[in-house]
Amino acid sequence: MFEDQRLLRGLRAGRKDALRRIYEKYIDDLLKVAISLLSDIQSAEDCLHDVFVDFAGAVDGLMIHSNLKSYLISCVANRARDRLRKETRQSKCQPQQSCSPQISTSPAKQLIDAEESVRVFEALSELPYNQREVFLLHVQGQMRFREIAGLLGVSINSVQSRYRYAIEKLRAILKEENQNEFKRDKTISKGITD
Amino acid sequence: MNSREIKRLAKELRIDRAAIDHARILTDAEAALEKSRTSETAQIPGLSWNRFRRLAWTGGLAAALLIISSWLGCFVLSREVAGLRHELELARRDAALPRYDDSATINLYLREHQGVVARTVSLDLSPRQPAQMRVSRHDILYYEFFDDPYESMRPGIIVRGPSSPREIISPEAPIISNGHTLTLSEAKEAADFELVALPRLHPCYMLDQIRRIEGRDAMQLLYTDGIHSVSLFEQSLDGELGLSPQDFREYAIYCNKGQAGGTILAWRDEVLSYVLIGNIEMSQLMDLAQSISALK
Repeated sequence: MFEDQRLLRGLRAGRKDALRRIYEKYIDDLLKVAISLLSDIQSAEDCLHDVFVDFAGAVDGLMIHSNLKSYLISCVANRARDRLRKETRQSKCQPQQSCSPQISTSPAKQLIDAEESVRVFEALSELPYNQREVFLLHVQGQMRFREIAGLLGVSINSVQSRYRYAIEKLRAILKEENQNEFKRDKTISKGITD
Repeated sequence: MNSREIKRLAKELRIDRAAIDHARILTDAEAALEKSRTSETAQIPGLSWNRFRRLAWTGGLAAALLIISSWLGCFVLSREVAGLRHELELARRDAALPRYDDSATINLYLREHQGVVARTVSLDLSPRQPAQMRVSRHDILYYEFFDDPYESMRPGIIVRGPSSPREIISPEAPIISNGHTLTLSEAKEAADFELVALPRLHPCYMLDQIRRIEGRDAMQLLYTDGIHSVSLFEQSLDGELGLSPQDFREYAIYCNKGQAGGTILAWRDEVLSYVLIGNIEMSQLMDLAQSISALK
């Protein structure tokens, strides 16, 4: 917290090393949220690019009430939402193009290191966007429900219910995947035995 | 799998960070930072937005404090003014009530005249009680101590008769030079004004003694007819250490009330002020005054 304040002061003084330190400190968490929300590497990179360029360009006028990490993650969430809205409008205007709401996750999967992480990522991508957004802001951004409600402009009850639905759905998806994996392993072992 | 485990898995989501172009993001962000610094310096040299906001906030706080302190000051002062008004009202009542009482009690009884009369006509005037004077020491403008038994000591006294004691802001009382009398020529030299000194006043008062009042630009001339004596005080209106004209006007008012003891008549012309004091009738005093004015 104190380091963030120091870094912000340095950034306001125009120090590039402060900007680099902030970037290095939070890029992993921001990247997770961006990829989870957008399910696309290029979109996530563009989103982060816009967030950091805006952040560096308007650092003097920033009013950061919470901590810096929450602020940056909320910026990523806002930017991702804008990007998705824009893409939705474009897909409506160009009906000849394939307009699948589910963005291909295959390039994003390349980013995921471990197998378990891939499972979680796939489960997250199956969530509705509203629930995914609330879940990520709460878990990754460590934002309180009240802060998320203020950010999204909805009531705190809506945020809590979205989070609860997200947890239940993730649990169901991951449980189903576990069962499928167990069956697949059993079939493979049976075939080997035969 | 419970929710805690799901949260743990989401937190521990591992992503290969080398897949995105960090250099591009950082370079553009640094450029934006540099641009913002440049534009800010160009727009408001030496004064950043944050500093301006801080100054504005401080100014607002100071203004709020000033307003609050002004309100408090007004509140305190209004209470003070209310208290002063109340006191003024009480003072007015006090001043209104004893007005008649003052005129009745500021009667002068001149003991030196009484003594002169007693010695001259062998008449004991002791049963005659002097009129009461409810005045303080500061109301006595000319006086002399009465414990000197010599006959040459014939002190004069003027007592201020105010409508209210609170209106008096009098100087310290001067002292008549005891025992030291002046001749007419000495008195004319000693006075800072053109002394009006008749050797004889109508009908038969003769100039007996002249004294200078110490610390004041005033002279005392004592006339006597062998039984009564009359003191004439003269002083320049331009003198810095004399009585004020307002004081003498008050004496002229009180002497009309038919004083039982002494009688005072005060008047003035353009240059001098005169005060006649004697244990005689007002009509006689007025005759004396007319003779002095005629000479002038």
